[in-house]
Order: sequence, then structure tokens, then C-alpha cells
Amino acid sequence: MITKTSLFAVLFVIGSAAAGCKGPRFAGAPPPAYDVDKDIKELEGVFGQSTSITNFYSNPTEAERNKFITGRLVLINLNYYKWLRNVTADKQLLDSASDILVLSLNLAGAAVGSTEAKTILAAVSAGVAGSKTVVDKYYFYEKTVPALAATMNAQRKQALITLIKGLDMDQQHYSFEQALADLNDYYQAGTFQGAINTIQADAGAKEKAAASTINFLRTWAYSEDDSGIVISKFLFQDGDPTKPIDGNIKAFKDWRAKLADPRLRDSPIEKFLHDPSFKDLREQAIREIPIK
Amino acid sequence: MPHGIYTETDIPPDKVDAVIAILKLEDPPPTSVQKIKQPNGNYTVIATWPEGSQPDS
Repeated sequence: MITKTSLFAVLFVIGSAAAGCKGPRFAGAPPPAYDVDKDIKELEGVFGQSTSITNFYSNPTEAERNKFITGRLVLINLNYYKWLRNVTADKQLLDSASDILVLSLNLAGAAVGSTEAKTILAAVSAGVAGSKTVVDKYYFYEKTVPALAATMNAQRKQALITLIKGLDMDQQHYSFEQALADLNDYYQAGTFQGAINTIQADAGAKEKAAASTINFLRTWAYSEDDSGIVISKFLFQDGDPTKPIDGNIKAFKDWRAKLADPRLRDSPIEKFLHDPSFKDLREQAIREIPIK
Repeated sequence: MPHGIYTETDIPPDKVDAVIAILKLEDPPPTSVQKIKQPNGNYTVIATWPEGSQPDS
């Protein structure tokens, strides 16, 4: 018989387990094998000087600019990775984000001078790379967040290219101010709003292109040429549309129905006869039906 | 089979009836055909079919 005490104990254990599973911070995945907050704090200490704008202007060299860029990159990436863990447990998305983070840690390792800083960066880099294997067995798919995160990762990679190219340029060609703007773009690329903007822009561009194609296919100016006259004489007695030759009309429609592009299959016979942009299709019809 | 609105412009006056006759050869024929005279004396014809209809059998 179950006593009240044992029942409460069972309920407590179940409740605790359930609460642990649904914790908002690492939903669907174990916590990382390293302390992200601690890493950020330590890295802020390492880059405290080099990520200061005032510090750069006191010694505005290319090396200082690169320290600033790489330091900011590391902090943005570490914060992004930490945030991404809170909103998704998708292994592939986390892998992609952590790859960029490791890359930026290595870039920063090359830019900073002190041994202590190099040691911290190397340790964080190893921790991030190592944690990926822990995530493998503990992910689940949501629908919206992975789509946004995938867009963010893609946009961040795009924005990162500009920054990496800038690191190899002198200050005349890649100014500190430009780097600041690019770092801001990089940060924005890793936000939901940035991802939504990108998706909206992509959708808008696709819709515009589709509308343009539809308009092109559904609007034309009347034109006559030899191939159109040949087909008209095939379709109509004496070329008179009020006297259609049924068998030939059917042959033309059967040919049209076999065209690969559905937009062409949907085009009216009149367009095939008198649209100047359909000249090649008219000649194709004459060859393939065939019309003599 | 066509879907939606198709617009043909600059049709000479002596050809416009022939154009409309050809448009009506589709199966099914357009649900509406409008003939509009352009300032230059030519015509614009607007033919409308339902969106998303089934193809010819």
C-alpha cells in the first residue's frame, strides 16, 4: 500500500524531473560542457582594453583595429551562441554557430599578444568544440525557431566575410569606422528581427520576380510573322479563325500540352500565333507537329 | 488551359475580331473578353479565365 509520504515523494521526483526537462534555458539539450557566462566575463577582461573605441583612437594602428574587430567578434559570437542555446536545441544550427565561434576565437588568438589571453581563448575554443558531441543525443525540432536560426546563421556568415576581408586590408581601404558599422551589421544578422527582415526581403524579391514573369507571360503586343501565318493556315480554313479545322486544332493543343514549362502549356493559342517573343516556339511547333 | 487575365495590345482594327475568335477556341472559353480601343486606333483585348482551373482533357 502506498503511504501518503511515499506518494508525495514520488510526485516530488516526477515534478522535479518534469521541471528540469522543460527548463527554458536548455530545453531539449543538456547545458554546455563549459560555463558560457564565466567565459564571457573572462573574455571581457581580456578584451576590455582592445574592444574599447577610446583605446583604439589613442593608438589608431592596423593591429589595434584588428584586435578590436576580433575581440568584438568573439564576444558577439559567444553571446550569440549562448542565446541560441536558449531558443533552439537544433544540433545542426548549434554546430554552425559554434563553428563560427571557434573560428573567431582562433582569429582573436592570433591577434592578441599575451600568453594568458591565448590560454583562455584556447580553453574556450576547446570547450565549445567539445560540447558539440554532448548535444548530439539531445535535440528536437521546432518549426519556426530553426528557420529563423538558419537564416541568422546564413546572414552572419555573409556579414562575417566582409569583416574577415577587412582584417587583411590597411586602414586606408578598411577604416575603423567601417569595421564598427560592419560589426553592427554582424550583430544585427544574429537577431530574430534581422532574420525576419531577410526572410521578408527574400520573399518580396521572389514575389516581384514571379509577378514580373507572370506579367511577361500574360501580356504581349500583337505581331505577325511568317511562322504565325503558316500556323494560322494550318489551324483555320483560309487562315480564317471563324473556320477552325478541328483535327488540326487538337493536334496543336496536344503539342502544347507536352511543353515542359507549365506556363507555356497554359498560354492561349492566340499568344502562340501573335506574340513576337514566341517566334522560336512557333518554329518549334512547325517542326514538331509537324506543319507543312 | 489558360489561367487568370491575359492582355494583348496593339491589335489592328481589322484583326481584333479574329483575335477574339481565336481566344474563344480554348476549352473552356474565357469567362470574359473585353475589347478596348487605344488612342492610336488599335485595340487591346483582355481575356479572363478562372485561376487554378483543371487542364484540358
